Amino acid sequence: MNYFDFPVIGRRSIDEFTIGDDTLPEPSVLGNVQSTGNWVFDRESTPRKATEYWFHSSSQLWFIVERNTETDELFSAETLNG
Amino acid sequence: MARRLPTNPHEWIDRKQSIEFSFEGTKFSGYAGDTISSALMASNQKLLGRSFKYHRPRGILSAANHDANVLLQTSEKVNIRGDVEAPLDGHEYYAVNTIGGLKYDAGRFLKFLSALLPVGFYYKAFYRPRFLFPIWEKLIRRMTGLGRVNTKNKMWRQDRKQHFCDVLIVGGGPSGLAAAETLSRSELQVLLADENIILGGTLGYQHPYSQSGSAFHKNALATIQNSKSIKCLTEHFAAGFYYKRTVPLVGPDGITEVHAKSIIFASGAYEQPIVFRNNDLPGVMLLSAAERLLHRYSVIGFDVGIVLGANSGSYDRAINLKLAGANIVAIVDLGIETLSGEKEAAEKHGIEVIYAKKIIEAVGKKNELSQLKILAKDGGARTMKCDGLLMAAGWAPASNLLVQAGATLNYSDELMQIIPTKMPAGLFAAGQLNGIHELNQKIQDGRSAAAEALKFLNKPSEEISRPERENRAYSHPYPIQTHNKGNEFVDFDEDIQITDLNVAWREGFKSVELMKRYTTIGMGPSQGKVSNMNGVRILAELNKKPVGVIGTTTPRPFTYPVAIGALAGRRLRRYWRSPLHDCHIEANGHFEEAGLWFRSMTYGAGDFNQRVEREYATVRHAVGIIDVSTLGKIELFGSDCVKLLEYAYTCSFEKLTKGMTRYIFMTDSSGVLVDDGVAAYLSEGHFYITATSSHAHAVVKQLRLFAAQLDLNVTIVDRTRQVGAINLAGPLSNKVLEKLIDQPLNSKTFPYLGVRDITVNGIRSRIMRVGFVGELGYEIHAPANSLKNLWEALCSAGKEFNIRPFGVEAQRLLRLEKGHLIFGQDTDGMTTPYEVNLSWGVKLSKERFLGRHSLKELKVSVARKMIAFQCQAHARLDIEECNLIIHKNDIAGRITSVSYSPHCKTTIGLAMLDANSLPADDKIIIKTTNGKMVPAQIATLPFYDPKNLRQDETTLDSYT
Repeated sequence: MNYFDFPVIGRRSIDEFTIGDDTLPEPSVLGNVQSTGNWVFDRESTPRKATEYWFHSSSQLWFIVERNTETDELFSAETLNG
Repeated sequence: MARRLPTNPHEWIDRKQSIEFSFEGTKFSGYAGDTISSALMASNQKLLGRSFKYHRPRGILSAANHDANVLLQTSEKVNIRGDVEAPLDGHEYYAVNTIGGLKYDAGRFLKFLSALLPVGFYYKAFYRPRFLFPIWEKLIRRMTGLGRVNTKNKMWRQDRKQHFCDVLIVGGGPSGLAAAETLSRSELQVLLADENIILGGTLGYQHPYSQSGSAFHKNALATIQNSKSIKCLTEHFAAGFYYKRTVPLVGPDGITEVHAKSIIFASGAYEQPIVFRNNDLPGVMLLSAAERLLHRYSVIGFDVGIVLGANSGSYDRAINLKLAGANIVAIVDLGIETLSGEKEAAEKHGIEVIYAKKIIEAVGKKNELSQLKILAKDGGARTMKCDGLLMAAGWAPASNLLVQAGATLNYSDELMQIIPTKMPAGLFAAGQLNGIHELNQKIQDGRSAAAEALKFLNKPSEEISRPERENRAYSHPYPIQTHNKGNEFVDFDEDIQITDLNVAWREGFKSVELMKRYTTIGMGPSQGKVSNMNGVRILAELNKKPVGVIGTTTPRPFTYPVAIGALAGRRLRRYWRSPLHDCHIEANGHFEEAGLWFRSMTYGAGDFNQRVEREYATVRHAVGIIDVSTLGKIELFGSDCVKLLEYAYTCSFEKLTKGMTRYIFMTDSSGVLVDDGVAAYLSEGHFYITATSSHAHAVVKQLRLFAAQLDLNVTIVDRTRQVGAINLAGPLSNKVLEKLIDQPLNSKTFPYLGVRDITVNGIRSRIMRVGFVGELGYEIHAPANSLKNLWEALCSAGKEFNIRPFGVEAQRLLRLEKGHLIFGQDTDGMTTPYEVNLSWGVKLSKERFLGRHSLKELKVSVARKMIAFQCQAHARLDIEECNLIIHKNDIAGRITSVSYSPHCKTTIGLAMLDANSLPADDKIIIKTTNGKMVPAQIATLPFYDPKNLRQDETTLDSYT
């Protein structure tokens, strides 16, 4: 079990969260097919310190979480837009 | 002759309690505490199974299920592991993998075909010639598999438990017990797991006469019993190592998932067989098997026993067996070095010691061992009579979980054994697994592992140093004795001989992983516990490289086979019930699970089709009422409602006016349809939207993300479970509703697609005029706690109009005639709006919405196309969803919805076709489940009321 101190909701097991897409909102302009394809499908999957969107269903809050995808160490968590 | 000793103070069996069972139709008896193997052996039944490929006779090898020789089944259960499972009173056991019984197994003649079943047989047979493929397939399907599943058996499931502790100790032998004893002095919560009924491991059978060992054993058991912080789980094996130190322990009552902060592995080692001709004859077993049988169950499996010793330690163990009452006549020593005094000690106990150059073969008679032929170092060839051959070649560590945990293991040339050299943080190894074999050292190793665990958990601990490993080997470097006639078995599960490995190597499979897959060595039910080490040694010899360089294969979970019922656990899925659940029961609803919900599919008496058509007719000709509380219901407040909707959904909200609704759908960033519903514009900054039943939460989650990402001023309230909904539909629906409201109801004041907040029978409701089923209809949303009142009021008001509840099945048929899609049924994980005629709802000119860029590209390259079809025959045809559409002898698509249409009086449906297989003549062929080809005609949608005349009370009579 992996616990972490989250803002607003306190200390939580990471089992309570579901991970969201790691993309930013769809931009107004993307250019050509290539850049559309990259934006939709191209994801970095090498072990790294990643910034992810996590959803906590019982509080219905979205968080931005920094995580080492290799060791699962959590560095920081903050609510997405309060 | 095998027999049971009259008495034995250490035995596990309870002689007062006898168990009667049968094996292969013959009656046997044993005692409580016996395993099936030991009880059979006690009655001199040595032939216990047949091998997988050649159906060779097999008996006990390890008596610990390290091999899969003794696999049994009853009419109810398969994969019964005879070595470790107790016989149950009155049960009838059979050996798996026989053709016509164990004794006269017709499959035994397969051994004469062994030349035709070479290594890599499958790959070769399936490669060419191709026309033989179906013949091979038929033959192999009959030959392969172990045991037969009785499909009429009742399903059973077991609990899955969670256990949290500070330290998990895997293995309750000397090292494990010592670790537990040490930890008992701390406050830590400790779980000690062992696969046997009784704790002690090798203490009970390899060191039975050690006084210090017995004293330690007694003491440790007492300490553990008196400790409140140590819990023991016997009869549980550790099945694997998973994320964050999670170890599932599998026991007779199911799986316990252990989450530990630290783990001490003291799982011991598997004794390894010697590879020589006929080393699989019943009567040839591991020395530890004889020890287990004797000390645990008081069974001696032979009259004349010979120990095939190939390492240090076998002398002591042979003497111990003799002392316990087994007739050991000789030790045949294959060792390369002997310790001084060993020979003399054995001879003092009347055991002849022969130094052997080579083991030639074991000879069998009537499926049992009768002779051993060897080449002695002095004296040449010798034939010795015996009915028990006890192999002691060395040890392979039970390191499966260590490897899965990421430990580094290396071969020690000094110990001739694989040992862990680097452990991940918080994990510790001790005992034989760690290359420690001497009893007192095993105990010390366990203690120091416990001290290390305490240190890791920041608890005070005394310094206990690890014992020095001995500089002598307990394993033979190459216990392989080739014979020119073969049958020297390396892997007993898969009948792999030395020659098979040679052939594989010659064909180029020279790495350990390739050799494993090509020869299937280590891939049987016992997963290489008693074969991988010898396989690696042979491969090293072939490659002329040291064993350490060859490496080993990665052992994967599970350590032993685990039953599906144990893995599945109890069914702990929740149901959601509609606020109208009681009403459906009262109306004799037929329920089914639909996503999270438990929904009424049809109502009342009659067969399925009768029920559906009765409800269908009610809606088309009178008035029906359906519970749609499962719909997702979301209320939006705030100045940025429209901005949020414009971003989340594909359509434009520009033309949507107050008091009106519109059909909406959303895609993901790749342009694939994910959800649909209705958006109602209530007032400035106030919207109400619906989502599909199974996807409602995902939509709320998504909208919350968008609102936060785009920094919008919107409050999103998930009303799905606060608000229930009823759809009142049919040409007489307005008449029913009018009776319950105090205002006139007509299409001028409340038009089709309008939305109004109206009080119905005193209940504040929000009503939307929707047309999903294609009739005049009112979708009434009201607080969940008043919904039952509302339903009952509508039913009694509708009585004079013959109102009737209709279920999900009738709704599916009604909407199919109307050509409306069901998301998730008519769409799949790749469907775009352009494939299902929804391009009218995509406004690409909008500045920004999710999926816009992908949809722009998809619009010009539509790969599939949804079509509607209608069969010619005026009959209910046997066509099912997912049946294939055939075009020019190839698959062109599949059916997504199909039903008999009372309106069209034939079978109609929707199908998804490849865009380039669309027939020019509008004729398609459907292949039904039983292979029949049914012609059908492409039709135009909708099948029913194309001009929407039925949606308005003033025009509905003009379309019938």
